[in-house]
Amino acid sequence: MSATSRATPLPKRATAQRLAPKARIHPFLFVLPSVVMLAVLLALPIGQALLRTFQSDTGWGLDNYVRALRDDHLARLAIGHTFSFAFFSVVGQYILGFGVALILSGKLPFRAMFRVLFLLPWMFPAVVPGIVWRWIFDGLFGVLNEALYRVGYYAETDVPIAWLGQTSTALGATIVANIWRGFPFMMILLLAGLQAVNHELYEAASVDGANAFRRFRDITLPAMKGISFVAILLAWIGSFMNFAIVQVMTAGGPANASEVFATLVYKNAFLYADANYAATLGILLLLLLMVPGGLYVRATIRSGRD
Amino acid sequence: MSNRTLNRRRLLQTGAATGVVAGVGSALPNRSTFAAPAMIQGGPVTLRLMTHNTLEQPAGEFFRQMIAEFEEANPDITIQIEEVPNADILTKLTAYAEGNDLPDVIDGQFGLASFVNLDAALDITDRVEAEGLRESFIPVALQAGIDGEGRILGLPFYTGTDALYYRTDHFEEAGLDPNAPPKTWQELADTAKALTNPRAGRYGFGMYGKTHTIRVVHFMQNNGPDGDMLRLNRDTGIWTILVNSPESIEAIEYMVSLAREHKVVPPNVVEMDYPANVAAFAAGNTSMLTTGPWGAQTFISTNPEIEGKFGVALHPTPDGETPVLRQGSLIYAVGRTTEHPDEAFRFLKWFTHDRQPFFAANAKYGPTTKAALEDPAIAEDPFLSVFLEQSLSAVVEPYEVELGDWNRMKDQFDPEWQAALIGSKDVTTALNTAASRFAEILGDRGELKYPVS
Amino acid sequence: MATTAPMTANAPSGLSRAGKDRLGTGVKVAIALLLLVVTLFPMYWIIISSLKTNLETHSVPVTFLPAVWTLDAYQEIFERRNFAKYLSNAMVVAVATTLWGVAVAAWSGYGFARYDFRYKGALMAFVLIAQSFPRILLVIPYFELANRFGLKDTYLGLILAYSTFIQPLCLWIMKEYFEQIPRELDEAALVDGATPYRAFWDIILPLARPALGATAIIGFLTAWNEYEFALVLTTTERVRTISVAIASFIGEFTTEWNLVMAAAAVGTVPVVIIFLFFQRQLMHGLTGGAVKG
Repeated sequence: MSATSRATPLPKRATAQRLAPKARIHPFLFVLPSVVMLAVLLALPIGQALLRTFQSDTGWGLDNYVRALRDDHLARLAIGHTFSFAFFSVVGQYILGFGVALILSGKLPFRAMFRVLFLLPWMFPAVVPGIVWRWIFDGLFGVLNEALYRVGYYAETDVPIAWLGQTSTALGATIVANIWRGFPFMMILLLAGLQAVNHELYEAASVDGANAFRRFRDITLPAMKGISFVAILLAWIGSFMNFAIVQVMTAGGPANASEVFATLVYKNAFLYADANYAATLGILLLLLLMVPGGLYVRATIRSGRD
Repeated sequence: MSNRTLNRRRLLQTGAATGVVAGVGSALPNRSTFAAPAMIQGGPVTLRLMTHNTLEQPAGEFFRQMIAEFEEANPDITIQIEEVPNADILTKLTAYAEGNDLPDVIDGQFGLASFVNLDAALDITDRVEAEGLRESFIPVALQAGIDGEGRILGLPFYTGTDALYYRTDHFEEAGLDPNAPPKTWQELADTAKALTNPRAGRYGFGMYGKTHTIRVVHFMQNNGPDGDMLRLNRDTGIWTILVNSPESIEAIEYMVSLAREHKVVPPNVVEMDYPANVAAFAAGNTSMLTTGPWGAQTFISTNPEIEGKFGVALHPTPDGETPVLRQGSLIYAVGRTTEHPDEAFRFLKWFTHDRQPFFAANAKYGPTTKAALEDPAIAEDPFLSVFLEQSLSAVVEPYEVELGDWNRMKDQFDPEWQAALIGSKDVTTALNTAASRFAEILGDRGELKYPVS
Repeated sequence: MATTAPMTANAPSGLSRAGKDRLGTGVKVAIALLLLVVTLFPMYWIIISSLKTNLETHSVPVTFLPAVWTLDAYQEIFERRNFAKYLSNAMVVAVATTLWGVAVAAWSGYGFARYDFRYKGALMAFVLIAQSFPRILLVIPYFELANRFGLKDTYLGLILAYSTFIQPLCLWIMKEYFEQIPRELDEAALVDGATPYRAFWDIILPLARPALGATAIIGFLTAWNEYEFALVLTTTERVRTISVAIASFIGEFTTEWNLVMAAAAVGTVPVVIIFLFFQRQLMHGLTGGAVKG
């Protein structure tokens, strides 16, 4: 029975063994194409970058790490901003993406058209979302301020807010843009997940008199746990590494108020010609990302073993 | 007229005065590579040109026309144009330099120091000397292509200082005399106040709060001997940090007062990069703006209706004296890894030197060659003549040309400038922070002259 | 095999029930429309701005409809730029990356989903590291490699570069969906004497259609939108993609916003049309392919 079969009493370990009774080679034949391809394409650059992190003007050592973790005030600032940016982006994307997916998964006139239209924010080439949102938030000819004038939020003589030009709102504005940009990714993943939920369970629950909220809580949410975990992880990685939106909208400003790790790596690699330090920041970014990644791998392995 | 001629003569001589690198290249090695005519090499050659200029309006069309003419005159050479958006040139150059696959002719929009950092440019000193080109460039323009060791790594395509552009129609509307633009800082502030009308979305003065903040140097420089970012002691090679000198602080305080006290600058000034400022001026959202000679045509291409409605005046100074300004140039270089150095140099010489007068006369981007100054279309142009006058006393800031860490340091200054503009720090604190960051980056190559706390 | 299954949930089972459904549908449509308006506003702004003159795009006060309607921006971008070529380049690269990426991801994702084996944790961690490695740091090494192997300015160079992040992305998604399919199905096939590969191909893959559709959409759009690799690995018009072409309108001295917006619209509308056209194939899985146990 569908997704809920994971909850059936059949022990997982036994299942896995029954699937591969003889040949231990099968799993490797399945996973190797992907792993080998990535290894061929990435082992060298990653190894190279790792080596670079130990190189500096003064020779080999941990200088770059000391510099990043102790001396560089921008790196400290960027870690905090990157976490906020990723956290609020993912929360926003998940809530919005789930909501839209729920609406679109049921019966709805023009459903096919809705589905395509809700994907639109994600169809724009990289630099476009940043440009459009920078423009919406612009303090001089931004459409947001114009709208606030028209609804009477501003008096005629008020000086409009420079959303991207003040430290308190700049990062928030980039998060809004990133939520807009990224929620279709969540939507498409969760929508596919919702289709796999066994509808007979809803039927049964309805007959038992469970209301919509309880059906959602007791049936939908548990069934969506796995795909949600993956979707959140992938969105987290994407937001953590996001470069285009921040670079185009604020370039890390004003006064470093929206400086994130990705813009810092970019500046060191391409504007300051400091490849060693850029690699160090990149490796640190990777390590930070491996925290949720590691949890995911552990959870997966566990669920296979339990 | 005679005044202008006199000025021109002085301009041609200033090279000796600024003479940062006098008498380099005097020892001319006797190499045959450039002595032999390039035409001898057989077979057609394709040169890769990396540029952002062909993407600009209206300069791009004139540049394309020049390239087509070159190909016609040199049937053995084809120019393959690689257009790169302005913001991404350095990204591509870095990748090309690391991959040892540099284009033959490269746009140096990011400044000479990056060429040096990446070892991306071919030393063309000998070629320039062999053809006697050093003398035919305006010295202050050529200097932008000469590194700290006196090597010529690039030739200037256009050049300029910043002057004050002002909307004559706005002056008239506000009851101001369009023939009397502000000369002093006080006048600038008063004029800007008279022009400002927030309800109409109009502000008296446009300022660079996001990119190109280097343009605030113009205000520092004219406020006393220690008003600047840094000063290089050529004997010791030590950079003296001046960003927090009393003169610099006073200049920045003046600029911040325009934004915060007088409110004559758009309220979102820290969002305003170069294109935003150009757009705001062209659209009439700001009435005055300082920028280079390229400004005029750029404004007109953005809004054809403002042709004839703006003037250009000398950059305002504290007391109205003739300004001393930094001169900025766009250089082009030959890629270090080129397989066709002769052809590449021939092409470089063609557009930066031989045909530069054509470009300067049509695109109105500042002239770089002495020949261009003789062209009546340039010398008698009401706008360009202002810039030529300013060039007489202009200087090339060594840190922009020679200091490999300048890009990083600039990015330490910008946030402090922004913090002062939005009022999250007072000017003194902000500039002291910038100074200590400069000191950190420079290490023993730099020294603080003024205490940072 | 199960195209009609989900509809049963909405089958009318009584008058009051049907009335409730209709009300529910109405509310849903209202919410969907409201969200859509917010979602599409930037799109509206792009199109409206592309129909203004450059000057009007940044004039104060802001106009919600062009004061002067003009198609100049479109005329200009098609005259000045070879947009058809950029679009087809982006399409070739995105489609190839997607097909290749989804195929490998499905195959390997199945292995990670179904088997417990030695080094599984290590291999998964490796894939995750590969995916999380900051892409911006790969740009230079990839340029060097592409240069060395003659892949600079070729479709293949871009496709390989894109595969490094699109393939792991697809892999995690496929793995997760496979885990939602009951294991009993594979087991039944194995008991019947099928090889694991047959079981994957004949039984599981057809059931994974919703996942394949979703994964293909994700892979395609990720490739379509990419900028950094496209910037550095292409040097001529031959392979230049739409995202790089759009950025080229952002100039040093001026940005012609109406052109940027027209370019953005031109670069997006084809995708919308393709999605509308193929939505049956792409989203069929999403709409109908509920997994039946």
